[in-house]
Amino acid sequence: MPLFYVAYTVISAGEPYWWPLSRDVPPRYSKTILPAVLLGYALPTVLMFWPWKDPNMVQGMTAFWQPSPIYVQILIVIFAYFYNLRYPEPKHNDRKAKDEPRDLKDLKLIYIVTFLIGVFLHFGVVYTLLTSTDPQLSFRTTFVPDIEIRQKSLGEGLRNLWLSDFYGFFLASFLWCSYAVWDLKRVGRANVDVWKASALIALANILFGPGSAMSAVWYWRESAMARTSVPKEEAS
Amino acid sequence: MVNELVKALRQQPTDSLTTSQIDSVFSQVQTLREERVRKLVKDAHLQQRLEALESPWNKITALFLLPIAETDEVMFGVSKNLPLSYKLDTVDLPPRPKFVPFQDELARPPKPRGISGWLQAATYIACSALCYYGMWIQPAKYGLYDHFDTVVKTGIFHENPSFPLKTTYTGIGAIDEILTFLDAAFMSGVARWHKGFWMLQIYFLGFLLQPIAIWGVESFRKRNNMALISLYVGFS
Repeated sequence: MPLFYVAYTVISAGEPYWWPLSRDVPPRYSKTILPAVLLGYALPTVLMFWPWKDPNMVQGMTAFWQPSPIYVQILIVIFAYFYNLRYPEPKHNDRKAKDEPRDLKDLKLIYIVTFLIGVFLHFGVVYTLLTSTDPQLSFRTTFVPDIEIRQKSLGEGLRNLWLSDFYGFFLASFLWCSYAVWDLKRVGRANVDVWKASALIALANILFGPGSAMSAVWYWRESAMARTSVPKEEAS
Repeated sequence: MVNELVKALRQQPTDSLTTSQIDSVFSQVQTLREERVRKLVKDAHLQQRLEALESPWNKITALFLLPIAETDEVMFGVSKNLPLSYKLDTVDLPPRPKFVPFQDELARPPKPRGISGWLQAATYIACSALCYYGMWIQPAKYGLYDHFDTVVKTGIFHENPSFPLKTTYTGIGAIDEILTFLDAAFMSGVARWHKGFWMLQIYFLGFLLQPIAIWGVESFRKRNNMALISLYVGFS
């Protein structure tokens, strides 16, 4: 998955990429992304972890979960199609630069909702682990890898395999967020200290969980990209 | 050029410029123009090649991709070739919100990414390598794969022998094989035989929600049309 970030980095190199003109998400998408994500990803995830009694059901749900990121894309396209039938987009677009961008509210809602879900999940997991009296369920048995090379049980071996994916992915995501800040500064759309910002992102990762930190960064980034007039850097 | 002349005139206490000063102004203008003209010529050439259907790829783009793209996207592709506009320093324009900014209206002039773009790509690749090592090379050392193969072959989990591995999901052999494999990799956690693994899965998969939502937004932005959607499906 970090390879996705490589592709994104290559695509977003040009300066026109950062113009408010090309930031736009058409309303048929900006309105349907959130329901599609909740229905296409959040729901299968909940169903997978639901305490089913029947082994057949547990495994069926786990199998159903596997292509869920793809469900999201398919649902967005389907919802967008119907949204467009209901509210067709006007042929002539007479948006004005001084108006509030039409998609900004929807996008911010996506970031806020996903942020809150993330915070809820983060605190839920931290709370469960802190109050757990079960020696099998603690911070150590969850997040600390066992790097010793010796025969491990299937569950323990798989957990270590997953852990490396987990840390690799969220390290890359953290970097992606920090580079996003750096990029906005590079194209002259923000005035922040990149090091301070990335320290803040790291802190948010720990306090609210990695996904929530990402939503928060994207909320800020959306606002910065949407600005049609950028305040000058103060002479220092 | 006017900008440079005015600058030179302002530095001059008297009202006239010497020949050498005018000469340096001209050469400065030339270097500034050369860079922009070079880019223009190169881009115009590319555009002509596309219009002349010179290579098979050009043909595909012009005949199949352009007709399905929206007007805005085509305009974006063409306007990418135009270097940023400069405006006269002496004429005071009231700052007005714009979709496409003048260079001097941003917080600082945009810079190309340069070497750090490649460094960013390299760090993501390093993260991928880390994942790869932790997921395929390291587990082989502690014998996870033999363990895993036994489960897939016999259909019996050591951790819970009364829990049969489900092997038919869709009735299509190849897909069922993949799903069986994935389910075997998920079950120790999902079925809560290893509680730490279970918690890790909830946390990890729960925090994929935000990246999925954000990639959804990014892939439906005007600027990313086509390029990212296919990538997204490919990498998920």
